Amino acid sequence: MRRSLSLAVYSYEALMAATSAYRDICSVTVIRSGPAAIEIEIRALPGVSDEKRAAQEFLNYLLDASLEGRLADLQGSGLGNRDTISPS
Amino acid sequence: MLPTAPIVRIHQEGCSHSGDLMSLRTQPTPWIRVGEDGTLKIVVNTAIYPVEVLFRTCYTFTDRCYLFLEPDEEKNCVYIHISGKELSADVGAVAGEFANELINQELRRQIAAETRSIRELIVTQAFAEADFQARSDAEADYQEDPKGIAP
Repeated sequence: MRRSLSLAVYSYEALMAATSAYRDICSVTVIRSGPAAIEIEIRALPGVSDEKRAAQEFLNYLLDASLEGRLADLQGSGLGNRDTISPS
Repeated sequence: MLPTAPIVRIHQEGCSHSGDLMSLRTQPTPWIRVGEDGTLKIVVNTAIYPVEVLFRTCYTFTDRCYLFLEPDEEKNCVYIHISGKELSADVGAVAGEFANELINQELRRQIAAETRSIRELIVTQAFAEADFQARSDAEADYQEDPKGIAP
């Protein structure tokens, strides 16, 4: 699965964190990198049955980590009581 | 002033779509489109809802569904792709909840802005009354019982 990630939403730090967290589930390749966006390709590792779901889980983790970083910079940010998601 | 206009819709001025949305079938809620694969796509106008509000809203939903954000800064909008984590998930209902949560978060943001000065005043007053230097009682040996708690 290929996705173009806007750096206005997604961050490099979160991408690194997500890639590390999902290193046993999928591999992530940066296809193209620009000032406003990066294009990545997500491939499930052998043994992972549902590639689409693995990619979606990775993207959700990436979004979650990115939003946490963005919101932490905002004054008085309270993220509520929702549990942080983890690789499944 | 709270926004009263439709807050999330596909065919907003300046956020109009072509191409892929044409293939999406219309759902009962007119500003939500659901594709054949069950993926839902809505557009949030960031001129109405700041990205902070959008981010907070998305954050509350990432444990329930898959989200992918595709901002279009030229058109001041963000395309939200939503799909359920379970095959039986009702993404249409999730989208409705998402839109309501946008209103909720925007209201919270406005109230926080309106009450910021009074909250800061309360905290300032609370800290002004506290004497952090007088720690003799707090650090006293319990056997000395400086407050006379023991009978």
